[in-house]
Amino acid sequence: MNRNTMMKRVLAPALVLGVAGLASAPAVAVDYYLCAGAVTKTMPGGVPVPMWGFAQVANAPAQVPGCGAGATVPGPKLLVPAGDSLTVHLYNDALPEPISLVIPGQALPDGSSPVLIPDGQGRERVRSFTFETASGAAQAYTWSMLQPGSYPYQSGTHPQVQVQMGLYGPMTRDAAVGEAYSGVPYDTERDVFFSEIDPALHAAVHNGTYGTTGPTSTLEYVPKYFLVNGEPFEDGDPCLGASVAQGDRVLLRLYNEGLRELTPMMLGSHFEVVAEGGHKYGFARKQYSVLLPPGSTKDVVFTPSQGGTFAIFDRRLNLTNGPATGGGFRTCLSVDAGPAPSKHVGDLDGLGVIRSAYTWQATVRITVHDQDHNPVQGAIVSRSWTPAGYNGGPNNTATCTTDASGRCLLSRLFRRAQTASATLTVTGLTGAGGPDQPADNHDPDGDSNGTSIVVPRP
Amino acid sequence: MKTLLIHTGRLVAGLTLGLLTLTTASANAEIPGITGPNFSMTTGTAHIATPDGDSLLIWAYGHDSDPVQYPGPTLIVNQGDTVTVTLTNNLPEASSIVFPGQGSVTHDDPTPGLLTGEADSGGGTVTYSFVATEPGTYLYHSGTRPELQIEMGLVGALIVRPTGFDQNTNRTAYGHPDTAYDHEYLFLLTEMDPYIHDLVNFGFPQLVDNTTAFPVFWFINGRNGVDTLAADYVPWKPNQPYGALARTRPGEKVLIRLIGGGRDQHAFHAHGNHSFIIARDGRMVSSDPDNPAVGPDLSTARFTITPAPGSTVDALFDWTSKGLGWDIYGDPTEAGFEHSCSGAGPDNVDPSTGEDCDFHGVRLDSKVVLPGLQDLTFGGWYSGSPFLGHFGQLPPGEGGLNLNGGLFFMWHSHNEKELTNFDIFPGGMLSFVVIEPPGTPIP
Repeated sequence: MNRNTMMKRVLAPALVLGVAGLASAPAVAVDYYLCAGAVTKTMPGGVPVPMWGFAQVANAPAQVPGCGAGATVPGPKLLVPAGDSLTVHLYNDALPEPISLVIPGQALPDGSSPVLIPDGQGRERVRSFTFETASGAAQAYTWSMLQPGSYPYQSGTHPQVQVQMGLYGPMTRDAAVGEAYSGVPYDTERDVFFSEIDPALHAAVHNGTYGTTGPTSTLEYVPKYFLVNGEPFEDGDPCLGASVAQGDRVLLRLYNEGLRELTPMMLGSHFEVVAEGGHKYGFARKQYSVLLPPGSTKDVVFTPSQGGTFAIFDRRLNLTNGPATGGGFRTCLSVDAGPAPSKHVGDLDGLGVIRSAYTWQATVRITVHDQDHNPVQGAIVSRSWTPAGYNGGPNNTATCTTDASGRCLLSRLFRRAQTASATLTVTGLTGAGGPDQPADNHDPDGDSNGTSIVVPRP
Repeated sequence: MKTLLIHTGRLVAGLTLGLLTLTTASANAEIPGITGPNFSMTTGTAHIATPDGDSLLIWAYGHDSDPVQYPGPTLIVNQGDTVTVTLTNNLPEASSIVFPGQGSVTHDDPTPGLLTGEADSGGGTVTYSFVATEPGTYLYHSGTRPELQIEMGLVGALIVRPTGFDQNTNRTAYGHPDTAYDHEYLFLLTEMDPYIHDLVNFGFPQLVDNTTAFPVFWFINGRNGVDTLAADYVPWKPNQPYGALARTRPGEKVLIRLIGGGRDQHAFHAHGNHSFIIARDGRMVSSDPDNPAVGPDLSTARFTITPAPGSTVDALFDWTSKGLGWDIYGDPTEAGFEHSCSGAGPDNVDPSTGEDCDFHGVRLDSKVVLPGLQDLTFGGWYSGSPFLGHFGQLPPGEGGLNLNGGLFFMWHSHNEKELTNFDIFPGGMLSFVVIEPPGTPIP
């Protein structure tokens, strides 16, 4: 992603000065080099669809003819670190039209002014929301003031054709590291980018009949393919990235760059809808589905409380690949089953006290944890003492049973004259909780290894 | 105007008595359905007649040996219940049920489909189980080939009663007192494209192209207008048992349980008053949704509610004559219609009659000049009088469908084309709320 971190370190004080002084453009910018070109995507059943997309090119300006062959739909994610501004160096790799970039929800790129063209009756009509990048040319688009949030970026030129053709992608900027919006932290994030393909429109643009003998608008728009992150679902497709852990706050960033509203629904859990169009809600809304209008984004935080696969699909029922069932807007999120239930010793603490002129008593408090290090009530602790010692005194039993705090006591009498220290070894855990996992035994305060503890004579 | 009024004797006198003495409501409207927590469900085929004269093949859920029905049986369970649903599938292809909004739904299908466990065609079975942990309004529908099977009719409502619910003494939607109500009504909104149903009916399901679906029939609770106004379980609608006519009395709270059951959004437009949206997707709209004691403190008042497909909305509606500008019960001194007004609260509305005491005794004809009968057309629901509980003179053959002198407000989709049955008006998503005079038995 070619972010110049060195530059940020050097110039950060200058940025602070700039903010404190006058509203100059932030000096810290992240640069992306995008190359727009024509590609062919193959839909299920082997249907080729001509599309336009963006390729990300490493390093220097991407003015290399042919670089558009690596274009993807949607385009690469423009991830802007918290506090940074954004510059996209755009190269138009021989697309038949001029293109441009806008980010709905953000200000127009610095220095924008619309591009007007005369129509057949001599009237001025807007063709671009901002300055254009002609075929074979390059331009830099800079957003010096970016709002945090999830946004789509897209072509700002002839959008009724160019957005449908695939010139779009996700752009995010967090309020702070690990915090999408102020007060909305997350542990992991997933982009869920919805878009559609009407193959008839693509074919007309590709063979040059759009606007002449072919369609002249999206009036007869009938999308046949429904893409999540650029791909229509096919049975056996993987879920969104790696599986997540239970209890994690999973930020799902939902984007819709299709032309119709969608309603992504998750089965098996509610989630919290936290933001819309890059603006945080005053209060999160607990829902299991969201209305996602075209061009919009919504951010939801899913905190799974159980393992399994959580299906996400469009409840507007765009669930086919062409007419074939079992496809369309579907994906899923895998949640780890979590560690199997087990228990182990989570702490051993010992204390020696003088009981009489001849004896002293060693007492050990045992804490039993489950696999998540939560206390286990009802666990039965077995022990051995070295040396064997004598019966007598309180808690002088072969086993003890843990209370609600996961703790119980075991003690033993020893002869003062002969025994300078006594060692208790936990020989097994039974009772409540899962099976004993002695390998997990530990002691946070370090006075034992979690299995044996030495109690010195006082 | 007074000269046009006809005093129709005993009936009106009885209603007038109701005006003057606060009668304890003898009953309250309750959503029809089947109670759990164990359900034996089926799928099967049937044909439904639409008001334009069409007949559509449907795939639908049923209960036990009852006829399958559209929508499926409304499942009513209690919070905390372990709900078990066994589905026997009599359709020509595999089918299933998903329960959006319910966590930890388990099933016993070793070879599940894309969304859940499935029952094979020809009598296959699958059993689902889940704990209904949270109260609220939910839906269920097919999780198998949903773009076809939901279109064909495999959708229904699930209502989870809150802990402590009692139909007679503690009617709340979510347990919190701010979700209390007097009457509850379900409005499950769906649509159908007859071309798809015909293709399936004629044996060409493989020709269905979901991407070109174009619905022209719109349903509330599985009925098109104006079948929506017929009572529940009328014998001439064996596969469409649920009506959609709401009735209430002035000042009483109506819980609207609204479900987007189909693939499209429908702008449910309730005339008569705004409604307070208290919940979405079975969760109170709350500034602290994890703490039920907070209640629906983010409620908003709307007169058009558009549930997203697959989502649910709960709203509270009530009607009084607040701000109407005239005495809703007519002349307070008129023989047989004597009434007083004891306003309470900032609205100065009489809690027992719903009358706005600011306008007690204000004559309607002091506000407007009513047109003569010769200048009016009449609907069957006009009593002949603008006054609640009154009847007036009507031309021969008019009226007759308003038995109590109530006021009718249309509740309908404000996507106006959805007020038709395949291009024929009136129809589609069309129903009414009837504001009945105090004391009128409901249901």
